[in-house]
Amino acid sequence: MAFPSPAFRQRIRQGLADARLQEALGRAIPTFVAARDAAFAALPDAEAVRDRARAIRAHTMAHLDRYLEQFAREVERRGGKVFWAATAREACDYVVRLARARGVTMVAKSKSMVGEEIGLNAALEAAGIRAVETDLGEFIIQLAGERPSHIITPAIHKRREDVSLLFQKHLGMPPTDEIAAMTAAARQALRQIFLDARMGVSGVNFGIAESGTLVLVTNEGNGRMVTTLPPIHVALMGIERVVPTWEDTEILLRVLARSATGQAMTVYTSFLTGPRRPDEPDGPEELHVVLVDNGRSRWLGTPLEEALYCIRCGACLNACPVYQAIGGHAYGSVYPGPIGSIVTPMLGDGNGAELAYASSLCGACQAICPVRIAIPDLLVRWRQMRAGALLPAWERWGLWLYSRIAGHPRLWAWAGRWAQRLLRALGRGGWLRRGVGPLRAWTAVRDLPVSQRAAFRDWWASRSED
Amino acid sequence: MANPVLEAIRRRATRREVALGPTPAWPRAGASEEAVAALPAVWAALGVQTVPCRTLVEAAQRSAALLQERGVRGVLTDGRTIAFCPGLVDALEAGGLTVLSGKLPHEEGPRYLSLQRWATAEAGITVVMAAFADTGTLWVAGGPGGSRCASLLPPLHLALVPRSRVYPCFAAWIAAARADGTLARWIEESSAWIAITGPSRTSDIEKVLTIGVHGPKAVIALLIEEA
Repeated sequence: MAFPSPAFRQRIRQGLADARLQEALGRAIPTFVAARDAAFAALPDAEAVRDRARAIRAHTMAHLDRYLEQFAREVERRGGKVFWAATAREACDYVVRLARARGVTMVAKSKSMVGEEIGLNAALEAAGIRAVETDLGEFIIQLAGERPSHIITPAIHKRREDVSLLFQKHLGMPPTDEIAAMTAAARQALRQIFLDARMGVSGVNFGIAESGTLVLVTNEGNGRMVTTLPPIHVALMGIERVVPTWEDTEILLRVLARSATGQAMTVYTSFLTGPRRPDEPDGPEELHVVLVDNGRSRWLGTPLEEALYCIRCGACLNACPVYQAIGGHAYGSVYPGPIGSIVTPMLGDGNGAELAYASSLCGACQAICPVRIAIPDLLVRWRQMRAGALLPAWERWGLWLYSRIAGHPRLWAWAGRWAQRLLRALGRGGWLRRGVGPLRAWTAVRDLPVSQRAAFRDWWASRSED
Repeated sequence: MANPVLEAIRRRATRREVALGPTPAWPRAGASEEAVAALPAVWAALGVQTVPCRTLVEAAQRSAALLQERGVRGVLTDGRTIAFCPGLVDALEAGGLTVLSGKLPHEEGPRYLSLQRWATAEAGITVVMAAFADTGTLWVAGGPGGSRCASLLPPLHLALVPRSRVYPCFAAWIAAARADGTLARWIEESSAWIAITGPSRTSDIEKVLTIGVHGPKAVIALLIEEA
């Protein structure tokens, strides 16, 4: 099998060649990074907060069974229903069955990465139920028939001109380059959807175990709409979203919005505990929480458990030079970017191990991660574990040989001298312009300098003697 | 009942001890006077207008005047706010405003019709359970007489913020509510607590900040001295 796969290479080439995408990313990414840095600079004790956030996530994963059991018990004690879905299929089936049983014909959805992961929209539509995305970015890409290219800003690859074309076609809006006018048109179109939908589907940012409370953050307010107006609220929650207490949740909220958008706090943070109570004037009559495993539990107790600490802030995407160059769609996965490359093969049928190579291992992702996930280490683990088997035989043999030589100082020195001799023989005027074998990949895009001077070891040895 | 998902997790959970380390400092600490003094600037940065009021009576009158100035006809509020600010409904009605409140029916048809009617309101008024000075957050709740829709559906949200309910930060409120039992009680009584930090916004197109997507486009905080 060719590696990386021709399809992956093709997507990368497309991303690099797409002038519109490059322009859209160029407009958006610098804003993200600057806002995030300013927000952390203004947070007292920021590094200690990140340490604590990481410790909370690590502790929760170590005792995940206990906290999930408590969470489910507390949800049910207050009138909510909990469904444990082992697979994406089971999760979708539950929601579709529920919608059918209640005669639901349209579902209003707020942003849920788990919803994308399990393919809920397709499952609902196959059952003849219309699912409408209500986050502005998700709404845009749903109109375009695409998938999100960023965890936080799903339509980051679209320029305003692209959005205007979509709104002209689908909402009958006149052409405009006014972002406010496009936003107003979306508000109007979606308001009636919120009111008419008989089921609202949301994701979950955190589930508080001690009280069975669902925590949801949105800036637009669509998360509040879909969890308040329709008589039925279905919340899709990855099993790793659970958090022990309110105090722990507050710590994680301190880093979530700051990492995601540079805000100190997202505009709306909803804490939802059970369905509407008898004395309450509004709220959903029914609450269903779908706990989605879909492969996550396989990785508990392994080094990849750390990837489950992720709070889906998207900061590593914005920091990643590879993401910035190729865009989210090139990854071909629901979860793009550095953390997506780790998480994708952990879920479902385990495809996507080759994504571990879509990284230069520069470490910017780990430096920015609010819970300090060692993303480069985990990418290397994937390369070792699975992707290694995808490499061609000569490359695997070459890496084996390299590791043997690099592990023995004298062998290393000997090989270095021979390599230098070889390069001198091949080079012209101090540069190697056209390499052979594996070197071709290097010299295809840049020249390799050939040193005419003595090897460092020899120079060092002669200097010490002086 | 057998639960294969939970069983799989139980088999693999490591139960290792994780050191939590020192507890980080609160984002903001200190006396409530300082917190109150800091709020207007924080609100201004978020796009929330501050209207200082001395008493509840003044807050009721200012609310009516603010809505009249803006040509509002229908206003959505809830039982908790009416009980908190007894002169409010009279002041609003005296100003020619139609006041919507009460409960949505539970049956689907009537519920839908009431909701459609609420959605016509051009402003909503709610009292807050607390406000957090570090982020300018308004903490509103469901629970008996506590409406979720009044701070969500209308394009304008008026929040009544009693000075005595201003906390330096969310962490400070959690600590106080945990200690005096408020947290435990409200978890049982209220299906929703909403932390509102500024007007509804999005940056989904080219990361350009745009105000008023689905929730209110404008938020006005009436900071009430003697309440």
